[in-house]
Amino acid sequence: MSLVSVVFLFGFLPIVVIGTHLLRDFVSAKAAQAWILGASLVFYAGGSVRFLPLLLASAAFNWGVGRALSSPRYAQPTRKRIMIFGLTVDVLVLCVAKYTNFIVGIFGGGRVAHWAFPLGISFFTIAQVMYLVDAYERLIPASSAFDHFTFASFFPNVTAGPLERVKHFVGQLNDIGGQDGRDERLARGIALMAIGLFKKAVIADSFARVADAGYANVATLSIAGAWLTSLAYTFQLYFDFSGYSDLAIGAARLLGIRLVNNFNAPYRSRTMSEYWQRWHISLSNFITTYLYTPIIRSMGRGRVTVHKACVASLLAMTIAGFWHGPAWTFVLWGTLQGAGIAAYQYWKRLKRPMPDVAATIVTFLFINLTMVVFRSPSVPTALTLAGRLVYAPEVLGVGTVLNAIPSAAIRLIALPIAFGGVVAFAGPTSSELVEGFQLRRRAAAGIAVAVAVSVAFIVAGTGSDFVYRAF
Amino acid sequence: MRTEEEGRRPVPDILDRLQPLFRDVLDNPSLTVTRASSGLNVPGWDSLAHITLVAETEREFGIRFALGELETLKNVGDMVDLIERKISA
Repeated sequence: MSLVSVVFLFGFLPIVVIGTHLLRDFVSAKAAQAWILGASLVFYAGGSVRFLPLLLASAAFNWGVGRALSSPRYAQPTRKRIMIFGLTVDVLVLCVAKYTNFIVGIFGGGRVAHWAFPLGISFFTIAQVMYLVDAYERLIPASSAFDHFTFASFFPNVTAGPLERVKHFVGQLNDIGGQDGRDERLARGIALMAIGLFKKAVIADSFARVADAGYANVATLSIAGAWLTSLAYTFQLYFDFSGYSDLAIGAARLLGIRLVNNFNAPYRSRTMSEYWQRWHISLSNFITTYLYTPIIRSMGRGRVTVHKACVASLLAMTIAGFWHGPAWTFVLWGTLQGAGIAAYQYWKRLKRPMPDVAATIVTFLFINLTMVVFRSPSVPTALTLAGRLVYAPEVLGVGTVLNAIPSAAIRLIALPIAFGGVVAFAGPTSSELVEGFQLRRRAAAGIAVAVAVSVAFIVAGTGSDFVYRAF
Repeated sequence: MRTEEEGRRPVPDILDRLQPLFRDVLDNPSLTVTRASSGLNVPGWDSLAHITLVAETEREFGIRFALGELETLKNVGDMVDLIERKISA
């Protein structure tokens, strides 16, 4: 079940939300939590029933390790060994589940048939890694099995984030379905979901039509066609993933849980460092805290020089790239992110700041180039498309891209594409819109129109699943 | 080992000891940070500067931040409070 499906939006979610509030009002907060836990297991089974036991086993294993780490019975060296054991098992399971075919391929072996990696494993593994490190550092008490399973399986974010911390999540469980500010919470949750749905079903999927048409014909693209294709995907991914995040955060809010924000208008960034403070923020926080910082610390206690920082950025971002999927394109994409951050650090030392507009344009063009690598099915395809951004036998023709899309579809997607191209760079963000949201007739009408248009696009069948659900 | 007196240092002293670190790391000799200073209002305070500040702070005060604590340090006030808790622990 996808967050963007009609079954989820108009069947599953309303039933869960209504049930949560009825149980909270007439039974207890624990009953409402049990209802959400049950709903989460149904949701996950609906997407990947064969891997439900793995999700439960991961939650049970890490809950057990967390208990051991919080126990006063063990001395510090033993606790460290327990943590390393827990992290090793988590990472090994992730590697076996996700990278078996990739690793077998490196050593010249054939593909293992029918090897599908478990839904959401990249995300729930990271959440458990953060839990174990926090428990080891005695920042959180051991959670109860009930709370931990609710955290690990929570349906709004189990498949693709935002990445939550146990401390932040479990602390809110008493608020599930609570009466304080309920009307406002529900209204804002619905508003955020409407915005996210529109971003995904209308804007992202419109860009996807152009991107898919271009990527199906990379070898024959003109320079203009290559730019059209690459830009279409750059915008598609942003609206797809930030739309998904709005839906996940909005759905959680309907239940009384605040998930962390995941996007903040990233294409307005002036540097790659700033970009990673605005793009996939929950992953970026994980990378900075649990990859970048330990790498820096492992380089000795001396001064953090720019050279050390650049090496750490390259390493951390390359690992983060590989986390996205078992392909060299993701590794290269991650390395390019690290190189972009490193280049900015050296540039900063020159003390020759660019005007904001120029810096934003340079940063966006670099992001667009890295998105070519991210989207391409292979590194050679990425190089071909990247090459066509600067040279191709044909310069201006875009027929290769547009002729692959039915003319009726082009009329349908033209307006969303123009709208998306503007709001990525100007105007309020989703969270700004929702924080300033007042339940008035005009706002309600706006939500209704956004939902109606989105549903029309979904029913018209232009849609696809979220990109990050595949990670 | 810290003396009892050092363990009771008042907060303003911690802020005073942080000032030269911030000036040095952010390469701005005229900078004066307050409890409200953060990456949002201090030029150059990006992720590299942040981890450098963390490392320099750890050295200056002889403390160690837990990884999970780093994300909670959103401004200078958070840093001062956490340092105070650690040196008085």
